[in-house]
Amino acid sequence: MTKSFTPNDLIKNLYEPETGFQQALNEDEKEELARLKQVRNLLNSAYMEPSERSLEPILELARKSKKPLAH
Amino acid sequence: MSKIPVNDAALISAYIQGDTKAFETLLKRSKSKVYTTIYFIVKDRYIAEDLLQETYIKALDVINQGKYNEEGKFLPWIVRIAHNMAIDYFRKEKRYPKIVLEDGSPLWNNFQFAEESSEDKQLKEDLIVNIRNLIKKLPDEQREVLIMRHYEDLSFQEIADLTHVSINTALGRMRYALINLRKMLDKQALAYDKKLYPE
Repeated sequence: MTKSFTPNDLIKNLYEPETGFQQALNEDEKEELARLKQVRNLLNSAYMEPSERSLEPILELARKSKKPLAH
Repeated sequence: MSKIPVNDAALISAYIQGDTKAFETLLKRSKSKVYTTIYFIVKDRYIAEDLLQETYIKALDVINQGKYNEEGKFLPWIVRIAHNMAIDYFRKEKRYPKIVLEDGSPLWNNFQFAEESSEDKQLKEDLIVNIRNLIKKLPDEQREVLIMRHYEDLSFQEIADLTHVSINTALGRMRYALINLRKMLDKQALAYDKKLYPE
């Protein structure tokens, strides 16, 4: 017997995957999941990087606020 | 040379013990998510970088005072600090008068536009701008869930708790956000094809 999934189950699994979930999907559900994954992957490309210049003071503070490791 | 541990909890312990390279690794791993989270709220690169620094300064302060207690979940913790900082900034900023141009747009939005135009030479930047614009077009409730789940890494249960809705509502909003984005992207692809291959 095949288990049927709601559209929300697919969304949940897209971000919080459970083992064995994908194997239990029918062909239509697999296709829908693949389409959702495409959009998710595209969203990943919208991540932005701060400039190196903005990171330097953070690293400087991290170094200053820690004494070097004792040997 | 010291070996860098893999998981975030181990990196924090190593930093507390004095290994500053461990913090550098944590920063490298988290900076993009933290920065994107802030940017989506304040929508200005320079302000986002200032708030990014304030976020990590606050995090360092908490860690160095021995008050960090997130059981290894560094990323959601620091993203939450960033989110709160950006919201606080946004609220404060709204209270102050700002210089507005004839068309009613704030002056700094135009600086931002000028900066983006020069960066748009790069394909990657084009894509980022496009995705951001499409996200902006989503209804507020869908955009909120999408940013919280995708960029801030909150679980659907956490989103449901924070937005006072059921987990099914949060999942439904995310589903419609992705479906709407897909439709907008399909429409763009169609327009692009028509431009290249007119009927």
